[in-house]
Amino acid sequence: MSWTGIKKAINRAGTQVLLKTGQMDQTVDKEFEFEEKRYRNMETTSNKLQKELRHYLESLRILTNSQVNIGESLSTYYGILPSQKFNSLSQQYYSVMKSLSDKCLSELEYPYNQTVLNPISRFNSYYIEINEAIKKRANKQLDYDAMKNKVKKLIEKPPTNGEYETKLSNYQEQLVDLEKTYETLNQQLKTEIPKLINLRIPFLDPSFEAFVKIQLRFFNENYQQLNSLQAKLDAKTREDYIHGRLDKRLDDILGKMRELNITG
Amino acid sequence: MSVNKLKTGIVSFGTSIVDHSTNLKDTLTFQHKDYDVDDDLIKHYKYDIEKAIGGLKYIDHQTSRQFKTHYSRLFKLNIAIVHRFISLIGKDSLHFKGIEDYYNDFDKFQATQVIPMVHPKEKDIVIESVNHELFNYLSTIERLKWKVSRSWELHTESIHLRVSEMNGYLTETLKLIRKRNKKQRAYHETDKKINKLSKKNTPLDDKETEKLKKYEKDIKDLNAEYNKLNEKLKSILPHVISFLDEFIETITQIILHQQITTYEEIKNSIKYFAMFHGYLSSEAGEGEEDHIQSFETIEDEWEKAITPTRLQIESFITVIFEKKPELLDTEIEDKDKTTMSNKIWNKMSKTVTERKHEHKSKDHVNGTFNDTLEADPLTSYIKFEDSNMYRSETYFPSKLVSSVDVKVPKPIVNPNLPPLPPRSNTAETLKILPPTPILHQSIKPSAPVPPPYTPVSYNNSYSEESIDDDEGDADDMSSIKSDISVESVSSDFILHNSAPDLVNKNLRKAYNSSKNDIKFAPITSSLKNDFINNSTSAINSVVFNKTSSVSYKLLQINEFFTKLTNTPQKDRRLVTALYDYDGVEPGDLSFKKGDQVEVVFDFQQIDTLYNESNTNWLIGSTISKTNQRIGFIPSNYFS
Repeated sequence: MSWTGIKKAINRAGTQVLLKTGQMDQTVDKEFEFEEKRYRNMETTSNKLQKELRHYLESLRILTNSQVNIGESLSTYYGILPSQKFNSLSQQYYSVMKSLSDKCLSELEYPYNQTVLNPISRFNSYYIEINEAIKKRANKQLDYDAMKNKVKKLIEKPPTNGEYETKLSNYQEQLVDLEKTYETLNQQLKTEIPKLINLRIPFLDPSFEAFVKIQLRFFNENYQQLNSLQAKLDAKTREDYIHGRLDKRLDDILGKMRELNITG
Repeated sequence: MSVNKLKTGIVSFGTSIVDHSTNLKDTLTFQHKDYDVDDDLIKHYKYDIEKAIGGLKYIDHQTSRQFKTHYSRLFKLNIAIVHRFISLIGKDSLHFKGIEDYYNDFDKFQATQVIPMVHPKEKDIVIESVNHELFNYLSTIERLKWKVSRSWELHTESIHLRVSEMNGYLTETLKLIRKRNKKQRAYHETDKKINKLSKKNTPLDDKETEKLKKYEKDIKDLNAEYNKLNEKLKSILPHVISFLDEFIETITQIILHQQITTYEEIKNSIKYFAMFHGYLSSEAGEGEEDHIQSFETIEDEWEKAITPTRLQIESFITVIFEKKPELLDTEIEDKDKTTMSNKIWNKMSKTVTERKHEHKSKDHVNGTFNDTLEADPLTSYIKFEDSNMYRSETYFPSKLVSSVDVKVPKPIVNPNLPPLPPRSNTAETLKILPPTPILHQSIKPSAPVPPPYTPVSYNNSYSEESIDDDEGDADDMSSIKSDISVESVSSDFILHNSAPDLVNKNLRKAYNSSKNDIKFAPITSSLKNDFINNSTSAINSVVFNKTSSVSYKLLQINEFFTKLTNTPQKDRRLVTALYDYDGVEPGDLSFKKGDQVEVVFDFQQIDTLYNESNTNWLIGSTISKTNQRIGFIPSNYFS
């Protein structure tokens, strides 16, 4: 920051204090305020959205991973995986889960980044630009208000020496300049912010659609792969599954364990 | 002197006890530790069972984690995301606290104006269909969440209960092993004391004799107890492991099915939603029937929809402020733009939350269930030429198959095999062999009447479609795992070989109960009708010829053979094989050089089948009493 920049900042801080304490009139533009509040709302929401979308991808990953872990734990009962030969369902299950996590997840990642995550983050990057403009406008507003105050004070308490006329005209000249810069900025933002706000729907809706579609694709692929594994099971297992009797099988095994009469 | 005599007598008595304890006599000192075969075996089991308990606990824990953490998080996030979308682009989007004040102010201001202005409410462009879509998605996911969590709750509970019970049994087994080991230790200690006493050079005084007697009594008891426990363990442990195997396999099936159901549920719900809102592609892509868009289509459609908007936004953003021009006017990429710190955090949290667990069995490569407990009679026959010979090799060390038992037949390659007699006769005979009862030698091989063609509809009711549809890559797995009959054979077999007084006879029943639920083969209903309604063999033959001619042939051949063997015959001559012969066609009898075969029937005796070269096919049967085999043999292979 240059020297003049620091001086400006200090002056503006002073003005802000005066404004806050009500010792100075503030230029109020309700229309702008309304748009700004809408804009701020949009900003916080879409930033949160970005975070949540990232977490969502992460949670898909964690879910798949935990399934792979279960599969691995089950398959290690049957020894280390030989390269292609699977003797047990557990090993087969593990290999399917592993390929699912390797293939489906990585396949999902790029489209998810492209159509969901990165567009939102791009949209959020627009805020940086607009925030800068809003800040600039606020500064100009402060300058304008300070100058207005100066002029007001000068009129209320005209100095006794003869500098009044020259000072007044000087101040008023500055005031006009400041008002002009403030007004242009204000007007610009008042037209551009609603534009951005209105374009949010065509911008974000495709991402939402992609979000749904990608999920559909992902779960469908998972389902298909597991289903093809299930199709390889014997008829009895499938029948039991359809009738919800798989749990009964476990009970049968436990019954057999009981028959062993270990403690007796 | 007498004391000495007594002492030696006692010592010999002691050794005799040791001799009686069959399991301890072959103890050998290995690294200052008494070791025997059973110890090794039981140690192995103990280790595996301990590990299995840990593994099962992990599976239980992980399952409940999946339900409680992963799935709930997935849906929670999904719902949160929709809520964000709704507040961004849906109904009443971008509303903030105190918006009503602004509306009021506007109304006041409007009242003073002559020309009506656009109300800020109206300025907000809201697209009805988008609102609708978001709302529908939200309710879809909420319904889905409810459904999935309910099913997972049941699943988790069921897994938890059963795994806990299983672990209870395993822990009991471990306790039993510990008890056995304790007894063994006590036995060894007492044994040592006896040794010490008996090795004393000075004659034993009364007190010591008393002690020795007590020890002898103790060791007898201990030995009995130990033997009891040891025998019990030896008979129980293989069962425990095989049940554990079954348990793990069934758990895998359950987990697999639970997962499939969940995925199917999610897929169907989203698909229904997608179909309603037109998210599916209009035509099916190659190899897909369900119209679900591929990732490329998704990306293309997204790009088409978003690019004009993006360009528009970026053009006026540059007007407002130019600070980071490099951000704008570039295509949106598919790279992961997450910051480094974020990635590191993710990785860390993943390793913290995702504990892995590997079941480390003693035999690292083959796993816990590495032995083949199944006594497959066929394998056994091939290996030992006796269907009853097959034994499990790891868990029955007392029954180890020694190299003497395994006779490896030396393949004798005889390059000068005589040509087989012409086959056309027999082959044809077999093909048209009438299924009507054949009595004695009244075969009528001539006049091959083609069976009347009856149209049978096959296309409907193939309920077990997937059996045919399977790709051949790994479908043999299922048959291995579901080998029902083989499993039950093995159990009988185990029972037969283990100490009979200890094994609960109920086991046999328990073993066979659940696995043999299927009493009949699934037959498609159209076939079933044929069997029931038109039991005439003509139809049968049509059916069989169409479905599987080889099995039909074998069936017929078998019928024929049974008739032949049941027919009393006056003289059955014995012939000796000159060469090896491995059957070529179904129904052929394989034999080795030197085998004696009884001729049951000679085709040469039939006019129509008479062969001028005097070589023809015979029907021969091996003369073994237990494994009698019957089949076609070429006459020129015999003396």
